[in-house]
Formats: sequence, C-alpha cells, structure tokens
Amino acid sequence: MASYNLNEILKKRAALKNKDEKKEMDLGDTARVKVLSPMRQVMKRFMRNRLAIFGTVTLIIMFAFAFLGPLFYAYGQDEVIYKYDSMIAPYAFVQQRTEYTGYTLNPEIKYNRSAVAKTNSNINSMVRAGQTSMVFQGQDGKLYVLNNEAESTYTLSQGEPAKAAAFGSGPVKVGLYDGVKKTVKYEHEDLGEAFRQAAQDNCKGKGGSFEFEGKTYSFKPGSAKKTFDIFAEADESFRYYGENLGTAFETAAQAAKVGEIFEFNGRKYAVLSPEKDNYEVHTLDGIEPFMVYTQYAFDTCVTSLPLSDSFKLGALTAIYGEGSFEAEAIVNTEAFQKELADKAIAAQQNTHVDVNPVGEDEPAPEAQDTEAPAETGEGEVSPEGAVFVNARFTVAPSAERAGVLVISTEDGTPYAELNTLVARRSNGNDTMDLDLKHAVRDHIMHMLETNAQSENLTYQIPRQDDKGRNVYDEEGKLLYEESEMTVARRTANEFVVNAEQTRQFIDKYASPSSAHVMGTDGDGFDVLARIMYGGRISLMVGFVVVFLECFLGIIMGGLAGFFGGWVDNLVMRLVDIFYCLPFMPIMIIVGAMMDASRMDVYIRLFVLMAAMGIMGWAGIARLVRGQILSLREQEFMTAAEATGLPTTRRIFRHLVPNVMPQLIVSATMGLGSTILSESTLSFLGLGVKHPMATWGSMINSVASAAAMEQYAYIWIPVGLLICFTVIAFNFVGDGLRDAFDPKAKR
Amino acid sequence: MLKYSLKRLLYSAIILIFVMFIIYTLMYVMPGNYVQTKAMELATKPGATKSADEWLEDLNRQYGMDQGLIKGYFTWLKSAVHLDFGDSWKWNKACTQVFSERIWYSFALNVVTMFLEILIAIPLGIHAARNQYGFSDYFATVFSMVCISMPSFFLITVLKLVFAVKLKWVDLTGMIDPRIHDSLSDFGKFLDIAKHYVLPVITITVISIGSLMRYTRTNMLEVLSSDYIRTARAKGVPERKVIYSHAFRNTLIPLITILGGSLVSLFSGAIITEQLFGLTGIGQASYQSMVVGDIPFTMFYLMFISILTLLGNLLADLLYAAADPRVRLS
Repeated sequence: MASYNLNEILKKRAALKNKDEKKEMDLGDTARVKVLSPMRQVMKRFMRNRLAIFGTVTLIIMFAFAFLGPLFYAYGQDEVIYKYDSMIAPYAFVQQRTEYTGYTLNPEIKYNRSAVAKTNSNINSMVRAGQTSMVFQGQDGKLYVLNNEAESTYTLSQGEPAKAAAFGSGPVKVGLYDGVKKTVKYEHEDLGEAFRQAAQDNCKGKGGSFEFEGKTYSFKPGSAKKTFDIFAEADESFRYYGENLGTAFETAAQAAKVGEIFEFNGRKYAVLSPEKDNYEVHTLDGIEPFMVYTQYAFDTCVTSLPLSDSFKLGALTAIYGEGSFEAEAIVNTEAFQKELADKAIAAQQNTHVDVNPVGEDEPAPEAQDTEAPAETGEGEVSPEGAVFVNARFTVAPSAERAGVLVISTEDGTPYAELNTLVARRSNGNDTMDLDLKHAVRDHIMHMLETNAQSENLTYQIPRQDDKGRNVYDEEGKLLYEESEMTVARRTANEFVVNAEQTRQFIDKYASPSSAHVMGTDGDGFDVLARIMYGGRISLMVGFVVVFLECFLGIIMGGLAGFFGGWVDNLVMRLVDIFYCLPFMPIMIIVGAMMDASRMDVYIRLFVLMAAMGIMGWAGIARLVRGQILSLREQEFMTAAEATGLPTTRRIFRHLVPNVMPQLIVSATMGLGSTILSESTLSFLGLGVKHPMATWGSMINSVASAAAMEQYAYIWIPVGLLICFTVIAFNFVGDGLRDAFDPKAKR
Repeated sequence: MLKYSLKRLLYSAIILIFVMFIIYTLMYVMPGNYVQTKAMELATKPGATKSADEWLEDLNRQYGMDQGLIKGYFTWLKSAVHLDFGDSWKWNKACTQVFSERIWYSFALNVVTMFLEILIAIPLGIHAARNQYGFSDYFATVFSMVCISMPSFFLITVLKLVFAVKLKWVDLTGMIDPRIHDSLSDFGKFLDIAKHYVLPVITITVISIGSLMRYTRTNMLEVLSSDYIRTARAKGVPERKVIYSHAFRNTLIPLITILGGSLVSLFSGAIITEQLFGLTGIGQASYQSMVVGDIPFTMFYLMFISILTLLGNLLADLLYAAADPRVRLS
C-alpha cells in the first residue's frame, strides 16, 4: 500500500521553496497546510484501497463488455446460427398409393358430402367383396353408384331414386303417426280417415298394435317426441310401383345382392335394403357420373410441368373411355425447361432447413402424398415462356412398365405418365426427373419381388456447394454429379430414397471456434453474444431496482425522519412489515404467478424489477431516517432553521447531501445483492425469460445433470462473471464506506 | 423484562397480521379463475381424495377467496388462529402434516451448518482482526467477500460437477441411495443420509460464513481498540490473555446476540439448496408448492417464516440485554 506522509511532502516542498526564495515561513501561514476538498479526500482514501480499485476496474471492464461489447460483436442475443453439413438425408419419398383421390367431373351436380366422403372406404369394401359396382342411398335421398371403370379408377354417379318394386319378409313401414296433432303421414298410399281413427284409438303412449281391415299394425316410437312409426305386418308379396315386370324379374331381383346392379331386359336395376329384411328395387336410368376417383398420380416427362385441370380430367376419363382426349397443355416444353433449371430446383432445394439433423423428424410422406396431385408442386412454378394450348393426347398402358399408363401427344412422344407409385422430393415438391423416378420405381419393383429391404443406385443429381446451393457452370447451366442413393423400405407401401446432401441446420451446441468464441447453445444462439446481453440485463436490472429502492426509501425515510411524530410512527411500522416479508419466497410466488398468466417477456421484466424494488426499500428507508434523525439535532440544522431557510431547501441542500455517503454505500452493496437475486430467480426459471438472455438462465440451460460436464465451458465462465460482478460491487461499496468515514465501524 | 417481552410479542403479532395481509393479497390477485381451474385439476389428479366442489368449498371456508379481500382475510385469519391451515394442493394432505414430516430434515441441515459456521468463521474473524492489514486479514476479507458474493446455485453446480459427476463420490440429488438404502442397518441408513448431506452442508456453510466472519472481525477490531485493552496491555497482561480473556469475551456479546437471533431460523429451511440437492426438507416442499401455486401450503409456510423472523428479532434483543448488563430494555 502506497503510503506517504503529508507532513514529509510539505516539508520537502517548503524546503524547495526556501531554496528558491530563501523566505522564512510563518507558523500560521495558510500555504503551510494543503487543504483538500472533502470530495478529493474521499477520492484519495478510496484510491489507496487496493480491493476497491480491483472492484472498480472489474466493474469498468464488465460495463464495457456488457454495454459496448454488443456494439462490436457480430451476433445478437436471439440470432439463430445456421450451419451447412453434408449428410445422408432423405432425398425423396415414394409411396404406393392406397387412397383414391377424387376429381370433379361435373361441378353442377350437388352431392351429399357424407356420401362422397365415404368413397375410399366404400371402394375398399367393394374390393374385399369382389364387387365392381355399388349402389347406395345418400342422406339426401338420392341414389349414388360407385363403379369400377378401369384398374385403379372408379366413377361416382348420382341420380334420383326411382323405385320399381319392393319385397321382403320384414314389417313394412306404412306411415308416421303424430301423437300431438293426431295425424298420420303416409309413406306410400293414403289409407284414409278410418285408419287414422284406428291408429288414434290404439296408440297408447309406448307402442302397442292394432288390427285394421284384417291386417295387423304395430307402433314403434319414432324419431321425434310423441311420434310413432306404424308398421304393417310382413307382406311377402312382390309389390310393384309401376309396371309389373313378371316373375322373371322377381327371381332376378331376389337373386341380386344388396347394392349390386343387375340387368333385366336391357335396363339396369339395383336392390337396396332400407330396412332389415325389406328390399327395394330401383331403376338406374338418369344416373350421371360426377366424380372420378383414381389412385393414379401424374408424372410429367418434363420435370415440374404444370398440368391443367382439363388435362387431368381428360386423361382420367380416357383411361376407361375411348383412350384419347383433347385438353389444354403446355407443348413448347423447351422454354419451360430452361425456366425451371433457373428457378425451380434451385429455389426448392435451398429453402430447406432441417431443424433436427438426426432424421427422426423428417417430414412425413403422408403429408405430401395424400394431397390431390393437383396441389403437389406444379403450382409453385409460374413459367413465363409457357403457354397452354389445345392439343390431343392418347392414353395407353406402358410397354416397359406394368401398371403404368403413358400419355402421349399426337406424334407419339410421351408427355406424361400415370402410375400409382408416387415419388416426390423430401420437401413434398414434384421436382424429380422422370428418369430418376423410373430408376427408383424399377428398384422398388425389384425389391418387392425379392423382398429386399434396401437397394442402392447411382444417379446424377444437381451438385451442391458447401452452402447447399446448386452449382452452375459459366453458361448458367446446372451442374450434376453422380450420387450414391439408397432406396429403403419404410413401411409396407412407403419407401425412402436417401442420398448425401448438404443441408442447412441450426448450429446447436457447437464447440468454440473462431467464428463463435464460446460456441453456441441449445437454440443455436451465439453464447458470447448472449453473455454480453445477459450482462446488460443483469446490470440494468440491478440499477433499476436499486434506483427504485432508493427512490422509495429516500421519500419514506425522509418523511419519517424529518417530520417525526405520527408520520414517523406510521412509516416505521410499514418498514417493519416489509422487513418481515420473506424476499425469496415472495419473488418465487410472483415469478410463478407471471408464469401462470403467460406474461410477455418484456412486461415480465418490468414487473420483476418493480417487485424487487418494492420488496427492498425498507432497508434504505430505515437508513435514511436514522441519518436524518441524528442530523436534524445538529447545530448546522438549527442554524439553517434560524436563518429562515425554507423547508425544501433545508431538506435538499442540507440534509440529503449529508445522507448521501451512507446511501451510496448502501446502494452499491445493494446492486451486488440484487444481481445475485435476479440471477438466482432466472436460474430457477422464474425471472427473466427466454429469448432474453440473462446469466442465471444461461447457466440453467446447460447445467442439467447430463449436460453439466460437457458444457462446463459455458456455465463456469458465466457463473464466474456473476461472482466477479457481485464481488466488485461489494468491494467498491466497502471501499466507499471506508473512504467516506474512515473512523466508522466497518 | 417480562413486561417488555410481552409488549414486544403483542407488537410482533400486530406486524404479523399486516404481513399476512400483504401475502393474502398476493394470493388473492392470482390470475382470474385460477382457483376454479386448480380445483378441477386437483379433483382429476390420480389419488384425489376430494371432488372439485369439495376442494373449492374447503378453500372458501378456510381462505374466503370467494368473499371480498378484507372479509376473506378475516376468514383466513380465523381458521389460522384455530391452527386450521387446510390441505395442501400439491401434497394432497394437511399442511401441518407435511410440515411435521419434513421439518426435521431442514433442522438437521441447519444445525450442522450453524455449528460449522461458528467453528470456522469466529476463529478466522478473530485471527484477521489480530493481524489487521496483514496477509491473513486480506485473505479473510477477500474470502468472506467471495463467500457473500457466491450465487448458491453456481456453487451447487460446481460442487455437483466436481464431487458427483467427476469424482462420483456422492449422488447428484436425493436424500438416500435408493439402490441400497433399504438393505442397510439403522446406523447404515443414518450414514447414507449423512453422506447425502455433505454437499448441502458445504454449500450453506460457504454462503453464510462470510457475513459472520466480517461481523466477528469488525467487533473484535472495535474491542481491541478500546481503552481497557490498552490498559491490560500496559499493565503487562500476556497477549494471549488479553485476546482470549479480555477481548474475546466482550466480542462474544454481539455474536451471541445475532447467533441467538438466528436460532429460530434453524427451522426455516433452505429453499434453493434443498430444491437443487433434492433434500425432502421444508424448503423444498415450500419451493415446489410455491411454483405450482399451492395457496394453502404457501400461506402456511410464509406465515411460519414470518413468525420465525419476528421471533428471531425479539430473541436477539432479549439476548442482548441478557448478555450485556450495560444494556437496558425500555
């Protein structure tokens, strides 16, 4: 510790002067004693304290680090860091379609939604039962016919029901009796007033039966309250609702299965069973197809070629129709291809961010493939050079591949393919070459034959640079490179094509490197940046809270000390109460309450600071009051009063400056403890929340039992920063206390 | 003395009523229909003993949450005076039962810690005061400052890293070793628990040691600079006797005061340490209750802590008078 004696120095100085001027100095000469201003005396004493200097320097460094550091540092506190890495990732998904997708043929026909929604399960039950057609009545009362037109293609038709006949051994519903209005609503023919009277006489609340004209009728509770369905006893006879078609028709109808179509005399009929053991025969005239269902998906020969709706419908109807159709399509495909090479592939491959590199969370193929083909991919490209023109196409089964239909233009060049094995890129877009699709499909067929789980193939896919972008040559053409691919089975009808690709990842838990000095954390945030911002928040919280404490404390303590009497009594009782409130439990409760109300992180920060300030003012108030009480009795205050100074001047010019030293010391120490409390709360997850960085929560995020050892390089420096900041504040506070009042009790 | 104590007790009771009013208000302003949702949740919890309506009824009977703030508070006060604190939501049994099951674990932790604290801090403080501005004084000052400034959670994480992860001497959390505890003898069980207490005891000792050491040092310095010490030295009393017979005894007066005052806080539990080390003491119970918004147990625990604080202050004042005959109570 540097020590010098004031007297020694003064003597030396005097000696020097004497040498020059040879002037005798008087004992009472004012120049003999050098008087420092009180502030400079405090400064001098403070500078002598090594620990206080250490604290001051630490704090200056800490402030520069936290408040100036972020200005010069490249990353923000919630800026996600990405990286590119080469990995075996799903390149494409292939699915054997089992679902049928519907295309509307006739948009003018209004249909019942539930009748259409059941189509897939209806088709499945048809396949199981080996039926080729199915007739059912929808909830709207209309007849629906589902017909297998060709392989993997069904049509759904709709028509008005036209009942031709009825038969069966079950009771026949005659009508509905309304117990309130005492009326009968007949199903078919009106049985007259006498029947209504008989029904009214015999209806006894819960049911029952009655005789009418030799037939037995029974009641069953109807759908609405106080209504009854009236059933006649079984009528074995074959009833016609029009022309009597004779016994041959009856045999044919009774032989036919429910829901199936049978032909009689060149007309089509279907048997429906509206109730158990009762059957109705409907004619199927006037039935019109309005939907076509297919398992086929379109693969265009030119990659990502958009197809018009008329093209799709034309192709689908041509499958079971005449085999050729006319539709709008893009025929000048070269211009389109050029366009694609520039835009589509590049765009689609580069926007892919894989959050989880482990491959668990790959986009599920179902999500892409169950969509109607109209939505997969094609719509995203809007080629400028492409024009839809009318052209004629033919549909024919492929010569090379089974189960594939080829759509060719008039001159025989293949234009698109229809198949049930759908291959799409891993992001769901249809941007794969047809050749690659063929190759993959052939491998899958081979795998299905040999029952293999995976097969390898080599194919050229666009080359990627280390940022995952496509590479072009000087002329702007895409560069391709040979790539090893693996086709692997995922489920019975799903396959995945894996290839090595460069993908963009969130760079989680990266080790320290030159770009990220402290590495990155679990959210891909730069740790050093977060340490800086965390320091900012910790220091800021400390200052705001201490300012609030001092503000409340000075006002309350000042009032109590200056006015005394009942004001003093009241304030001091309040101080007693706040002294007794347990700080940490209350802060934990406040934090939990803010959690429960899902408060915004910024509002939360303010509430937290306010709560800490309100909990901490009592100590300052007590200190200020004590000081003012003792100062009030001193002579200088009596003098101030005697000179007639106004009250405000007495308080702020004479009392407050004298309280300042203790206040500053107390506030400096308070800063340290506030930072400590804040970091503890944040560590517990009850203080400042993600994405705002704070030292406490940073430690919490990597200090779990599993990660503690691995990420010690993150949490140990952060913990030391908290320690050093708090120690520094305490040293400075201690040093200030000693400097302000060297004789005081420490 | 008796009159003074009674007066102070009455005064403390009044303070307590107001303190609890603030805490009650805090509970009262819990985000809207929190109580109803909580009651529903409680009733659907596995092992629930009451239906939602019963929980609500219980709560309203004891806590008056359905009435106005003031009226509700007096409802609570009435049941609290009858020592009826209701059933904890988190622990699904009576608050007092949770308390009696757990308090002794916390008490044991604090007793051991206090013992160690006295053993280490007081000699260190005296030593530092004797060598004022010497190396040991500097060391003690810096050491105590580091201890005061150490965030408990950071110290705990470091201790866990060193002793549980790296050296594997102790478990990361928990009170017992579940693999072997049941097969041990009674003494073995005790040792097992004691082993799990080592790190928590170190933590609390380190954190609380600093202030006691500084306090001892300050008081010792004050005593050493007083006139009777100078007199004792002047008349040739050996230095050892000056320190331990004259100075130390007088230093003890303020020490006894604050240590006596902190006797009651032996029961208060260490919220963060117990939670992070998984000790099933009262501190952990209260932390977990507070985080999930268990109003009955939180109210109970905060009342308990407030009473301890007030009693501690009272005890400190009384002890001060008892230890130092110069002090007169008024």
